[in-house]
Amino acid sequence: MLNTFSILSLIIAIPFMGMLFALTAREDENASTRNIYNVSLFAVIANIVMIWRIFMLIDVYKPGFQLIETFNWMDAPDINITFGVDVFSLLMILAIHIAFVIGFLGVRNNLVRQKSLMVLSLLFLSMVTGFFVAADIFSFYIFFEGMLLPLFMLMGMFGEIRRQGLIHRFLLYNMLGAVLFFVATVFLFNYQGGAVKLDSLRQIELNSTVEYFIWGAIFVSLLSRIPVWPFHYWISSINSHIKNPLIFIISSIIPLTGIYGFVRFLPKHLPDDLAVYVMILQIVCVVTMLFIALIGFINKDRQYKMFAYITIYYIMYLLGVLTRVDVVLLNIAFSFFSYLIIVSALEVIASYLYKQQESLGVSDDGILCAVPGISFVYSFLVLAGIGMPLSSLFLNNFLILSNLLAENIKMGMIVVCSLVLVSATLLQELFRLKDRSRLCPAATAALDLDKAGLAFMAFVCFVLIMSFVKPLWFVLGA
Amino acid sequence: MVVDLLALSPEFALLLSLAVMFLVNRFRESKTPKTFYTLSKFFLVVSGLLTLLFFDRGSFPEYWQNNTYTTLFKLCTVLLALTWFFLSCKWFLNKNRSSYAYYALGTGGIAALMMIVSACHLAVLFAGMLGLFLCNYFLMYQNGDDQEVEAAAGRYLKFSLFFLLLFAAGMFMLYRRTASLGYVDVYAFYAAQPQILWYDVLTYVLLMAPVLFMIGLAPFHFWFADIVSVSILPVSGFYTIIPLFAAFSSLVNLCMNVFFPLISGIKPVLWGFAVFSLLLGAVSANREKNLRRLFAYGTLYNLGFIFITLNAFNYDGIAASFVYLVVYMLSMLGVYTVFFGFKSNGEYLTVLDDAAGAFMQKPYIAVAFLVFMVSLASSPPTLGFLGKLAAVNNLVIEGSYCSVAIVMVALLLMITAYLDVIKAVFFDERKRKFDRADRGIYICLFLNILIVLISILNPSYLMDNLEKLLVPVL
Repeated sequence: MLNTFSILSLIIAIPFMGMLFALTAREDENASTRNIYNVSLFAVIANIVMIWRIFMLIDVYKPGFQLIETFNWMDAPDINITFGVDVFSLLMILAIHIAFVIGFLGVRNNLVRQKSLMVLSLLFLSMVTGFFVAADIFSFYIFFEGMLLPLFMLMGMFGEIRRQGLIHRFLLYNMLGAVLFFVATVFLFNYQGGAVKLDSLRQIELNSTVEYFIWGAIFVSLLSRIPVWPFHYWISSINSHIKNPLIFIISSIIPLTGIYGFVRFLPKHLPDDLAVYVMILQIVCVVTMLFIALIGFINKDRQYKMFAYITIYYIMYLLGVLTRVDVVLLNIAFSFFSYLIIVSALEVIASYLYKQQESLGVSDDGILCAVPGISFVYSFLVLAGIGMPLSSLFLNNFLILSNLLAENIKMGMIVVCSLVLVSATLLQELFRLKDRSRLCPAATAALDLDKAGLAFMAFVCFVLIMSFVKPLWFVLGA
Repeated sequence: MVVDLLALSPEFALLLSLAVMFLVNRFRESKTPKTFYTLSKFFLVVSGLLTLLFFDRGSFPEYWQNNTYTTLFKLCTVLLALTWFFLSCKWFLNKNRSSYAYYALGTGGIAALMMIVSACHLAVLFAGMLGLFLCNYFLMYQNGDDQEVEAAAGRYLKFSLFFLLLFAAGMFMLYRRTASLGYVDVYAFYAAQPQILWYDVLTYVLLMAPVLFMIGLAPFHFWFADIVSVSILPVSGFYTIIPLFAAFSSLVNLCMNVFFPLISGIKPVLWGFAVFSLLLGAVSANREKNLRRLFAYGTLYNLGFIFITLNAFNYDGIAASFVYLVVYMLSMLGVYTVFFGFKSNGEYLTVLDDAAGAFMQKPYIAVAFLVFMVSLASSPPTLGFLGKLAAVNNLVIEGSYCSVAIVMVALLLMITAYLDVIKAVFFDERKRKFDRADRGIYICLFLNILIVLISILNPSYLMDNLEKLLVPVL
């Protein structure tokens, strides 16, 4: 180990240690379950503090990985595990942690199998943090596949997916991707004579035969995480069944791992052979985007509408990554930060409203009129989510879209159309929930969030507004 | 001469334990299942220590040779046997049945395996295999007069005798050609031959088929799933866990130090067997609802993985397949330990549906089960990943891209079989109440997971240090 203080290893270890605590704790009475919840929440918040500290330690304007940590893992084959962060990966880690805290808020009153939920969530968080701090191809692969196990267990145990085929397909799609990635990793390892660093990966030049195979395998494996045709089916099927907000948030993070993979792996200078396939991918992306936006607009299911929103944005980010313009990548990172927080908060509130509606046995039409606190937060989030000047989505999406339009006007127009459609979908849903004329009298008994919950949601809104003012507002001196 | 005989002391110690067990069974009145476990444990520990002490001593060098390679495999066998005998004792205590025959035959089987590992003469190898097959046959009868067991045991005996006859015929043909059955002489003879005759190939086939039968590689696998599913749990585990290290070492020794000049002609056949095992194991496991049969097919799949890696027959291939073997054995030992923990109304569960919802009542055992299954599926961050990494890396270095593709397809198929088990244990509703599991089972699981964790964080001891002990076989 080269570093005396391995802060990056620490942010992987903290959720893992929290998981070990939760695993060994007894799950019998409310007090113990509450204890598990509190410790898990503490682990995530402690990690957020550590991540904030890392922001202070790095130069946010410097390209390339910083705070590099290298561990000699084994000598034969000679593999060194390297960790490192840049502003993109660190923003993703921070956003995911904040999303987890929001998700924890959504499950704080859930006492059914809380221990398993916390253990698996923390394990997933540890893996996904490792994924974003991985700075070489081997550690990238290890965390890329490692996060699948907790994800699968969470889906199976809490996703309320009773159809065995669906959950099998979910894991097999992802495992297929992981297997392809593994083979490509081993090929690349032997071709380059050692573990390749991620920041030098985009500059690698391969001969055409190897190039086809390696990039093909890597890109298919990354696409298996993104809801692009033909991989979109499992995500839509899984997401529309999930009722637990934390699980929904976790499942929403998975496409991010695929897009992040593209950020790291897409060659800086596309070889001619590969450029054709990128163009095909762009066509598939825009068709999928338009198709899902239309279905989301027509569909009555709230979860599907949410899925449509998530998907459209992810595909837009993917298209942005495919432009391979560095400034666009940075804007994607800023945009992602707000986007993940918005999606998480919207899902937690939607889940809360669903529970209220279920307990009262009424329709949720106009329900927001009965809960003014939630109504304000929900409206704020929807408006921020569709790109109003309330979060970093506004300016950064504008920049991403302008780049897409500059690259290909037709593609850009379809993306804009899809965004308009999905925004209309969210606004239509907001209107339905706020329509006082359709409010059922029994629904007036719906409970608003408690003070602590509202205060937390107000803080989330504050974070979003600050991200609009300055994306890296929390980094002193940036 | 005295030193030669002392070098045989590990095997003598095990044979002595048979005599002691016989006398205890005959004359001691207050004997419990633990009595024979204690005896076998004592003699296994002594045997292990003597193996370490005489790690480089050979007895009658043309028949019997010890070196770091044989010592490594013998110690692995002894350690696995100690763990398995400890767990088996729980079964006998639970059933309150005499453990005499089980421990006596088990210890005899281990003596035969040690003989197989150290053999450097085909007659000694033949004697070892004969001893092992007989012990295996009689072990099956631990289940009483069950007709299913009787039929399976009968089939096993017939096939064992058939393969032993093949081996004897092979030895006869070889002796006629080389005038010796010692490994060194045979190797020297073939190395000096300008060309290999069909006669030599036939001899090789006759000698190798029984060894492959002993290992259980497809298409010589038919006995394995058969007897594993009908035998009692201690015996099933014994067949699955104990013999593999010794059988593997013997096969590698034969290929590298006896028939190496013939190996290039045989490689495609072994590759075919390995691929057949991989695919057959993975496909058959998907159709199984019997837990032990499912994992028996899992074993077949893993054997295929090991042999497809070994097929290069160079140091890297042997080292990679050894790493995979160690990883696989640790995981399979964990899976069988879990089987001891899944007990309902005193009965150990065998059908997948019976394990439904086990996580609800036995969360720690179920989580351990999950870790071992993920390890068997070679997924990071579990130890199984190291095995996959070592094996696939070696295949890529060898340029066996077709093998890589087959291995990956089989891996995905195998994962689907494990998914069924995970679904039953974690996602399905509980159907029965599970009995309290013995503390010893928890300790074994904890230690196994600890080894798994240490190995994945610091794999150097496995990937670098242990591998170096394999050098003498080259």
